[in-house]
Amino acid sequence: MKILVLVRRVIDPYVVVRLAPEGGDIVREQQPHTLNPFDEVALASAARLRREDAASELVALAIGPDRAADTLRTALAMGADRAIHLLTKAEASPTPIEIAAALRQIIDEEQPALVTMGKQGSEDDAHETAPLLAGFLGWSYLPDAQAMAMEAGGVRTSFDLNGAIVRAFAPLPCVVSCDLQLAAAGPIGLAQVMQARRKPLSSRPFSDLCIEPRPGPKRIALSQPPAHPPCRLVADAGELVAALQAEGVLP
Amino acid sequence: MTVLVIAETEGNLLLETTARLVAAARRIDSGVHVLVIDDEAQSLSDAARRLAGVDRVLSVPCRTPDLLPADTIAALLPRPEAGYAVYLGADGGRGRQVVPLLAASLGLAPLTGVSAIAEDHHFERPVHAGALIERLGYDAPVRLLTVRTAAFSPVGPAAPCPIETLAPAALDSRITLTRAAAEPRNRPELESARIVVAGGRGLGSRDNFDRLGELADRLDAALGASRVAVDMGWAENSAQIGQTGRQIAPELYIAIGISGAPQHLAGIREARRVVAINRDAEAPIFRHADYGLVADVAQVLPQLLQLLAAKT
Repeated sequence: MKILVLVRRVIDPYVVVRLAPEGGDIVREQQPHTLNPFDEVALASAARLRREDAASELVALAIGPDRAADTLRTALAMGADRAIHLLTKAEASPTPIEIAAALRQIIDEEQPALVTMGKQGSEDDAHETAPLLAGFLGWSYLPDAQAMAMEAGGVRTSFDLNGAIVRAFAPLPCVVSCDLQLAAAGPIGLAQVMQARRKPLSSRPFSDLCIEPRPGPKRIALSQPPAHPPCRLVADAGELVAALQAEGVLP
Repeated sequence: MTVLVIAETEGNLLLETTARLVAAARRIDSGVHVLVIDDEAQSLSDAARRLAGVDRVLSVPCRTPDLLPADTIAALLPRPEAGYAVYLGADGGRGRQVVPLLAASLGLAPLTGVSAIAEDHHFERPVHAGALIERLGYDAPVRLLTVRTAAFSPVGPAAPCPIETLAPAALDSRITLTRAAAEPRNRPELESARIVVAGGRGLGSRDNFDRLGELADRLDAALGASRVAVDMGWAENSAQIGQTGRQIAPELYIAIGISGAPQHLAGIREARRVVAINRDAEAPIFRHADYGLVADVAQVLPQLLQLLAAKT
């Protein structure tokens, strides 16, 4: 059973982002980037299945400019057998629907039975790529997995729905998106990094897939939210309760 | 041009999320229909028809509405030919899955996580855990949206509109869903509570977190947690407030022992009043609070409990 994992390169979530002077994006130059933490969880979870021989091959895929290869090398060090890099030009970032269309073509070639990725990207929190892909493929979509196990020719997951835990089961093939609670990625040792260098990483231009650009949401502007007014510091619990009652927020 | 809203329900409850969705829908267009997956008694549909601004409720019969998979829901939604130019769902909840699945079947790009709808039909959403706001245009023959419902105030009640009953839901998905027996919820829900009390690392122990529960009970508040408190095992996953957890819009949010990482702040953007109690005067949360108390949480908690005991 082959697993395909989508990995995305994002700005390190702990960086304090700044607007680029020309507008339209954040400053990315010389800022640390990393593997999308949600994809990292999906990868760790898939790597565990691979180690346990529940899967025969784990392929990692990244779509992006040259630097996206960094996340693929991390993926190989974390246990992927092979990596595929769909190379884009730096300025033209494909949208989720275009990524889903591209993945669909790769899936035709690779024939995985399970496709997994993080439930959202840490930059825009969009949770579109996984369900769009599942919809295009006609595969079952298991969202926001907090637990995942292979059983009886399918995948069992649990996820949160409006505060309640729902358990889902779907036969293979399916698309599973992963939540942070699913797995913790262990530290990567030097041996794994060295081993990763010998694993295949193939690269091809994204444009080779001839994905038609589609109309859809387009960024017009990026701006800072209004600053929060300064906080009123109170001296003790008594003053706090009195102030909140005076405002009518506390009975 | 009519907006089709996908209702959020649980058991026999039409969640307040639905009233917030209707508010968002009204900002887009004047024609609003709400689709409800309902049982024979149609009590959920009856609640939906009494929301202000709803012109029609589309009721889909299903023996177990809570267990209907998202792909089935996406497949049964009336298509644009029926007169719908906008589909709207909740960014949390079922809409989160249903809207993109519908988008795929229509071959159209969705827009998720909207937090504001501007007059000129531009949309806004927070990015980079709320550090920045993205403004987007969305020119498409059909627009498929999920919204962060915390950012929209729920509509109030109104005279009931008609219910149209659609064909029963087909039970042909390959996905099977089950739920654990619902535990009785003795506290308000995070998304609809007027007051939310939440605890983080600064509480120091599970015992202190439980005492926070006492405070929540005194205030008839919902109880939430930071990511750290959940990781420490003091609270369930479902209590986590933040970028990847619950996003709330209470009148009053009291953050105790929470430092205020961006990923947490992303969950409380819509809180009207924020109170921060933390031992560390430099904690980022104070820059996003209305009232701050720099103090040892272990001392303040009993003081608050004492002050509030006198009131109830």
